[in-house]
Amino acid sequence: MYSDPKLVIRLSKILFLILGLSVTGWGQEMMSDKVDTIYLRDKKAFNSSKSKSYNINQTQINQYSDLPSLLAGEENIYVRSYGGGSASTLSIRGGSSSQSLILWNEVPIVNPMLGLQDLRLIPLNIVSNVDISHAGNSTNWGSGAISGAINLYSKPQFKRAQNLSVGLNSGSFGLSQKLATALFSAEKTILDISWQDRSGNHNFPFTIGNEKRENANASFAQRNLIAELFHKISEKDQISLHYWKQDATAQIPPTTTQNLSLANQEDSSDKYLLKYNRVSNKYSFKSKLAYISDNQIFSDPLIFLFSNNRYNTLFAEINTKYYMSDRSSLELGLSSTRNEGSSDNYATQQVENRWAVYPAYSYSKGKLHTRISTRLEWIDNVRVPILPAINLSYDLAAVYIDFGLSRNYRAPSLNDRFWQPGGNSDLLPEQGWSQELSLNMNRKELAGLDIDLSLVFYNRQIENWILWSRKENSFFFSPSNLAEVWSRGIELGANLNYQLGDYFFNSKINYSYGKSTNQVALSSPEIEEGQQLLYTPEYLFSWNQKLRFCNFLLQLNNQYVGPTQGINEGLESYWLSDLYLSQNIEIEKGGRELSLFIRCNNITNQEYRVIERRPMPGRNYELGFTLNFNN
Amino acid sequence: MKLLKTLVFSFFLVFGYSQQILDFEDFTIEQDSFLNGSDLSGGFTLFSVFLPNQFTVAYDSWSGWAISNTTDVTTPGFTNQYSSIVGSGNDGSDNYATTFVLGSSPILNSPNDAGTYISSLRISNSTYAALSMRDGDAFAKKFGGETGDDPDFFKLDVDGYFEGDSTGTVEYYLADFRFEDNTQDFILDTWDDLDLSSLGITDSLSFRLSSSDNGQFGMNTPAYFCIDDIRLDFFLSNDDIEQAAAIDIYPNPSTGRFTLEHELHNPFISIYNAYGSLIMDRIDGNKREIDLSTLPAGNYLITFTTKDQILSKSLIKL
Repeated sequence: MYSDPKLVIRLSKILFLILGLSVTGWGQEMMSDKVDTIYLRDKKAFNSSKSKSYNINQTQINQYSDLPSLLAGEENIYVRSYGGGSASTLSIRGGSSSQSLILWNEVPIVNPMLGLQDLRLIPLNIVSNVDISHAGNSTNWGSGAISGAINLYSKPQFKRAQNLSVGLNSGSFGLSQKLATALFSAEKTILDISWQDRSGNHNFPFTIGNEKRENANASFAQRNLIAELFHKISEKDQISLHYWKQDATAQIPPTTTQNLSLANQEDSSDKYLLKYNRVSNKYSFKSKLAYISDNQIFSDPLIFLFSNNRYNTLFAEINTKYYMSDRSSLELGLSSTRNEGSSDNYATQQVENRWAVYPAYSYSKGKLHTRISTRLEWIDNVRVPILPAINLSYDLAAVYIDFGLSRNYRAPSLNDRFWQPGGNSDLLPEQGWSQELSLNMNRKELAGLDIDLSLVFYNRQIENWILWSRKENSFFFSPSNLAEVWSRGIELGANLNYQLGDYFFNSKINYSYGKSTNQVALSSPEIEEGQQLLYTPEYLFSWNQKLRFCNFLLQLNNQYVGPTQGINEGLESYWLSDLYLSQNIEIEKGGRELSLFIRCNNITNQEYRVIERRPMPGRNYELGFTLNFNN
Repeated sequence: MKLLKTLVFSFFLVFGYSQQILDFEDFTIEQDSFLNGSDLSGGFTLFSVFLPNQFTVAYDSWSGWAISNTTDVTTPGFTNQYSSIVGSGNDGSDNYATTFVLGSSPILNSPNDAGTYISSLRISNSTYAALSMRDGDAFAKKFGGETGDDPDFFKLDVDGYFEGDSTGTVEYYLADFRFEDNTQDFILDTWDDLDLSSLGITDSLSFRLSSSDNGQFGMNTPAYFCIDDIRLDFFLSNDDIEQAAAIDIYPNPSTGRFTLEHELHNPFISIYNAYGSLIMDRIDGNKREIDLSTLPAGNYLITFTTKDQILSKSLIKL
């Protein structure tokens, strides 16, 4: 046979509008550690929905270093990680890796060839905010937002300030990180530049039986440069330019049943974004134009395999919102996306054009808030299913109730359509309905405690789920609309804040139980009716405890992941605990500040695996400092 | 020596049956290369035996059988999918056949005589499968697993058929790690004899592979193996033996001119090359001179068909 199509799956392989999510925010400052439920009314990303929003500051950067760690640590989201510098993808509410949409400043940055984004490539220091939605967002964002959407962005604060910070980290297994940021802010203009260089050998030891081994061929290096220029033309008009340059290399270690691997992957991308916003009391107008150029080279000299994959994306969007009254507003959005992909495995360069129009109507009266929206989208002049959504929320004094119903979809990726051999140009989009009911309770100053409780029920059925498989008497793998997947579950959350003098204590508990089962029996891949999807745990639990005293912070994160089923074998459940300590030292009042931190991951030295045959590191450390010069 | 052992026919009359060994040396292949059916011929013919091939032009891909002389025993992965782990054909010969098994790989035998059957062949692992089992790859495990104790196996089942009816199945382990004592675990890295005589007279064989390393997408172990020196047996009666003894061809080997003498009654005489192509027929008379001097050196088969039987002998042109 010509090529090994399983590779496609590997690569290949791996994104819904929810109309009611709880918004919680916490920051580095003591009081902002308190959790408040807020609406993000003027944000298109999850407008009308509540989402969790994180301010990314130095503490988060030191605590989590990259997006997958933040999502697992704070959001109890299951991250399918190959470990270290290797690939990481998401599974939210039992969705596939390609059913969660990743956005940068509200621009989708999912690789259109793979249909997913490798989260290991996204450091935290490049943005100031992350908004996370656990449910579908196709009405707002179109393809790929079936089970969650994550928006990374920088929020400008126009005030006179200059800040320069440099940081240096070091850690186990050759880990090294250098950070530098420069912020020049005036009343009307902000220039923000961040640079990151992170590398490591990731040659951690692990044990097989009584035999000690070392993770080999696992080095990685990532460099990110992001420059953002914001200019306030007037009180109503703002324009911004954003540039993100990224280079990453990662060796791919052998599995535990493989003696040697020389495989490696190089990723490089340039992202350009121009935004113009005009906001007044009666209306808002937002526009953006983005261009992404990305190149991915996979090579395995051991087996003489080299693959060069390139894509360019041109994205344009305008979104207007008209406030008809204090109670109602009307929105209209238009977007256009052009994806060009080329690969050694495509016959020619492939081009995909998408057009979308999405109106919405919002109405509030008293404690009732409603939003009705829909999206009409065309891919290469073929219309995808109409994507309606409705959200109802009611604000009782003690409990906030939110209900959402939406239809979401994911278009086949370019590889799904054009990869040779196997690509299937007749594939239908994955699509289906989801429902969510959330109850959120916030009790403040209850015996000195602030308590937030949330309870979410969700239900989602997706048809035409795309799976790659090898049909009988076919020598290659090919994607088909094989599966129907029913995902349903419950999510419980509790956030407790307690302050006693200078001591602030926070405890956060998340529990989720979800079934995500295939509803039709399949022979290839061999899946029984009602069987839980691969690499999709039914149980997730996290318990984070934080103690802050003056400028000292101590945090213990614990996460439990239930057993999962891999392609070849089952994976055991595991419990991970990470400990983080930091201290801020003010060297000069209002001026220089030194931040020190140390983090110990997997403090119990648990042996565990997320992906079968891929060992994960035992106890490991990272420590570092950041020096801030403020003016 | 190679010439003598090579490809085509060696003819024996022992214990009441004759044998021919079909190797692949008469296929013309560039050095360190292969024939993978890209000429869309649909397969490879070797005397009465046909090895089917399916080639897809759009993807430059193949399945079924390929003829190879690649010698790479160190490069893992499918880019080295045509090589035998031995690095040559059987007994150091150049050419051999490699199969990528999709479900099953058949070998068809269309003998002039219904009593002709494949009694054995030489078999080896492909480099792709052998190194994958020894070292593992990104998808398949190394045999023995993480600890070396997994009872892994890579098994070939050969089903025999005659006129559509099953004649039996022969099992053969290309790798076997099921032993209590791990030192006995093995991955076949030589040419070994695969005895198919228990299948009796067959007109087709079907080769199926199975492995202990399976996932939801099927078998992880690369579905390849190699063969060489297919041995054909001709069942003959005692009368046949006597009749065959009454056939004389001389000189044999020859540079091209052979003298044929026989005592058969009005036989239909035909000559075939190593690929089973008819070279000459309608050779009348009980004593004739046969001129093959314009034909390439190699092995040829002469058959004598009477109303009761088919007899054959080999001609070796130097």
